[in-house]
Amino acid sequence: MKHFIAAVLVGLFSLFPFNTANAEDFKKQIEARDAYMSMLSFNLGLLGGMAKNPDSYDADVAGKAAANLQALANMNIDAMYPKGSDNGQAGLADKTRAKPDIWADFADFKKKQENLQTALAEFVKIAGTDVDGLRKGMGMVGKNCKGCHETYRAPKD
Amino acid sequence: MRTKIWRVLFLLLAIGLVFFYWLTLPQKISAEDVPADYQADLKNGERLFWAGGCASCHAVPGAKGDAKLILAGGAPLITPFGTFVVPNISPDTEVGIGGWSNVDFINAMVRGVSPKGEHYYPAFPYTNYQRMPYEDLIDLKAYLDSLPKSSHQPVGHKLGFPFNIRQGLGLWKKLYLDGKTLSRAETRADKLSVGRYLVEGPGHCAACHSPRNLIGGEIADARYSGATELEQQPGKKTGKVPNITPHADGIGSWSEKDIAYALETGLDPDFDSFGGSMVSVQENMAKLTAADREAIAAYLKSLPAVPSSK
Repeated sequence: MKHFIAAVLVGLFSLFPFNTANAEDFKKQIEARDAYMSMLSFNLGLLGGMAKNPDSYDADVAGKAAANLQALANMNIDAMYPKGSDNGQAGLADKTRAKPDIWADFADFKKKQENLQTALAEFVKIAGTDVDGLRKGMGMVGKNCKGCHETYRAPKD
Repeated sequence: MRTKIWRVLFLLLAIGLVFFYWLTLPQKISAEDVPADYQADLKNGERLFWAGGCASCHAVPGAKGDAKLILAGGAPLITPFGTFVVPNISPDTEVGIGGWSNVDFINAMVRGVSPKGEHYYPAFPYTNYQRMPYEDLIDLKAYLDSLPKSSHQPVGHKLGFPFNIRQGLGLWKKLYLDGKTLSRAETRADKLSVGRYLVEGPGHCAACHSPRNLIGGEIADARYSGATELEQQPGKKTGKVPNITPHADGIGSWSEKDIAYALETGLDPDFDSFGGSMVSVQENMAKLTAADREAIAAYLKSLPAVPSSK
């Protein structure tokens, strides 16, 4: 009898997968996403600070930060973006700014990551050369940040 | 006795309607007000095109690169007042604005009145564009005329009562359209006046960044202190538009250099990127000169610091 009830319950819940999803289920993934974005912006900040104040340019620091960005962008991030971990889900509206649109066209989301990887492959070649290369490259990289955030990230509250 | 009351009521209603009609009549400028011998400056026209963000609404949704120059319209703007559909402003003479005179264009931009004499809805931000000197508008019209034509005819607006009565906009304009157009000298005197002009006039920053009241009028003493997005996506959370005054709630910690850099690259001082509809705006601003972006930054830093409304 117990098995029967358990089977019925499992069956019922599997019919409504999204109802069982709550903030707790995706806490770790969302934390990992936020941390990932912090590492991207930290390294981008080292580079951007030099782009804004060319006198502070340091080729060695710039080269390393650019390499870090490339390493980060080349990570596989799929496990951090499970379906249903968006701001349209009950309990997640104030936890994440990831829009449901990501999963409406996940292939496009992945394509945008590939575009970032392509831009960074160019960027690492010029960021550590001189400040003009860095400034030019910042535009290329920034364009890809926006390319994804324009469509897939909700505004701040 | 009863017929007499009805007669009086009918008379009052008739007087009321005539008064409403008279009060809400579209106000136009006349051809004599427009400098006839002025030679359009295409380069300045292009600058105002990017500053004004025309393509952000009037290009086909999702257009990038050169496709942004085809101003075929068609994007739906879903708002609490109903759905506005962006018109075609390409130089097509049938469905676009190719057949318009300079006077027609200036009337649309500074008075919000169509060549047929109808009010435009303020989803088209003429309360900001009214600041633009006529010479600048002639430049902008000449630039728009140089862009590709499109014969696409977008569908009409879908609005609920009472917003579907265009004539009523005459009253709205009495409240929110002051008719103050700047002279060219006032838009060019120094860095701060260039910045003020670009922000208040063509840039129409207040259109999104200022809170509005129930009838869609900007709340004057809270200008630029952020707002709820007017555009809504069905079934999705309505977003917030940031405070851009120098208050701690806004961009008080940003330097002028930070603001100019953000408008150039789309990266804020934390090196997070812009997102949402600001991406398209910023990409327009990136096409201005560095001097224009620095002027905008200087003016934004000069605004009164206003806390965000809760």
